[in-house]
Amino acid sequence: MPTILIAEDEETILEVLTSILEDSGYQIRGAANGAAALAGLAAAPVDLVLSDVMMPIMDGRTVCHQMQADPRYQAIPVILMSAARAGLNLDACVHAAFLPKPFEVEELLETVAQVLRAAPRLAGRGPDD
Amino acid sequence: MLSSHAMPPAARPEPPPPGGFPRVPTGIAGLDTILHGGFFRGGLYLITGAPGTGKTILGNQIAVHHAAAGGRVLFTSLLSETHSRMFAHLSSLAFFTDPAIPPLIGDALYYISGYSALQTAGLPGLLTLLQATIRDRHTTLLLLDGVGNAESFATTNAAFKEFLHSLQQYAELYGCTVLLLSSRGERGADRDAVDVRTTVDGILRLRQRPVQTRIVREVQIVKLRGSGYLPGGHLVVIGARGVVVYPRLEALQAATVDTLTTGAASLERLDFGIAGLTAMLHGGLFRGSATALLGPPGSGKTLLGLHFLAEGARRGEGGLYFGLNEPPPVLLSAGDQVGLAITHWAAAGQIALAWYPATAADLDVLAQHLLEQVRARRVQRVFLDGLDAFSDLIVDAARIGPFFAALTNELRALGVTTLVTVELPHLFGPTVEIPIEGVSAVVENILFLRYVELRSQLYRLISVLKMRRSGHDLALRQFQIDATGITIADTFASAEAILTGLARPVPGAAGGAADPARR
Repeated sequence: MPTILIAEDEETILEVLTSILEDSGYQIRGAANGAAALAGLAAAPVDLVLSDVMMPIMDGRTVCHQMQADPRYQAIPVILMSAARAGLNLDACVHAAFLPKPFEVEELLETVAQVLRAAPRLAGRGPDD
Repeated sequence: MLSSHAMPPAARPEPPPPGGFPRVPTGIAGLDTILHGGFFRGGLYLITGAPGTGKTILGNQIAVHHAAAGGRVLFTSLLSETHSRMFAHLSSLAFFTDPAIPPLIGDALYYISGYSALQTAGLPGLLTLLQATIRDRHTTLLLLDGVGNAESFATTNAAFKEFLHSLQQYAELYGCTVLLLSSRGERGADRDAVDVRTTVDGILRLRQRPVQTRIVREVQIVKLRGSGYLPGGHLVVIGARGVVVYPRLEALQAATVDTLTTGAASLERLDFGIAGLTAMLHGGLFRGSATALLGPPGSGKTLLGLHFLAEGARRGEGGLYFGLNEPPPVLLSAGDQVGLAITHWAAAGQIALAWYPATAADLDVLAQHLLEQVRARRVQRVFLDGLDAFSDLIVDAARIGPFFAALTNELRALGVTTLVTVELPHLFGPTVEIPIEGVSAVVENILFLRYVELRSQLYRLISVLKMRRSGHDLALRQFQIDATGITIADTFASAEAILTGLARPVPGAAGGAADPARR
């Protein structure tokens, strides 16, 4: 089963996203900020990072930059999400998709599935594993 | 005087004393006036109010202004409401939808949740998170929304105060101003609240209360260390523009009383364009004076006021009708029917008509609109129609006298000559009472219009009850309203007990020249 790391400082959203994605068959790990997300990546590999943009300690854009700079994480796709729909400067962030909050369950699941289908196989696991 | 959109001298930003802190304006003009310029940089302030009083909107409006002015804002929520839902609620407000704002969000305007840190590691964890983010993001304004939730995690009252103290000390080092938004009272409103009055540098209290069919919101400064402020409650209106604060006019004026006492009163006289009335007033009203037109319904008060404006228009003086009773089409028609050409003067821009439905008005809002129009149009004559309708809008009855005194003072300072109508409730009767307390002390002149019944006919009378700084005709004079407007006739000397409205013929006066029965 693909593993998704969710980086989200709003606890309610983290809980809801975890519940929805687990119900859809994914394994979920959570982090309350960008620094905790990178620490989580170092601890064990994931297939996808779903990250909020605005977080304390380290924001989602910095997570993207750090992942791109680290050969261990370059191939892991990142989906960014934010309540700031317009005007957010994400040009310098390598990310596979952007989810403007609030989004609906179908949009979330379809985006995750599309990104995982397009991502290179990691550690022998594919999106349908 | 207050006669500009700039703050009055005593309420302008006080320059920081040597070694003092600069001000951090809120960007909400009325609130900055009340605060004498805004908060102090590096200070810790509590904004308290029950749920629904507008704390989050106010906090966001201050945040947006600060970011748009070049500051860096950290808005930290401890509430269950998600940021996306909060943004959705703010999306109907002009300050949030300004095109310049979206590019700031995520950079100069940064939103995070502190609830996870609070749950995981309590107040120390939240403090660490806030300090790190203030430092890393070069934050100059921190808002902490839902600080009552943080208080819930405090094991002792002292622990919460220590958290606030540590936060404030750290923020001050980084030049960061901190605003705490809380539904818990600073103490007085909520017995469960930790007493933080001594810890914070200032307290703004928001409250709302039902008044008849309306909800009236107010803001009051409870404390502001290091600065004066305008005391008392001030009207808050939350609408499409966001939060708008209307400082109480009488509080504003109390702060600038010195500027109202300079200069000599004008000796120039203005008249109504009614020959008999000019004579009764010994030449007219003094420029800058305030005059009350008292009278029962239908006695001619509004027409007399329109005469005053029309005469001013003929002389090139701008006039303003400001009222709650008669909508403009009715006024235009009434004035035109008696030859005052109000429609003509309105089209020429010499007379402006401002009417507000009484059901949708707040008194402080109306006062500001009135003064704004006077300044913008450089009006010299104001006709305020229906002082009784305005006084009905006052929430606190004790304000009536001070408010109208402040309004007339401000109009006087603007060089405006003012007429106000006051409706007397009874058509006839042995007593004459001004229904609005304090009016007679506030106005320089009082004209009294009324009906008198004599031999089964109604007659209109006018008299001058009071005229400060001038003599005046003491006689009661009959007046008529016809297609040419108001004309003043002879005295009503043949009747007595006239002021009661129950006239009796003077014995032996029947058949005399002044006997109206002979007309």
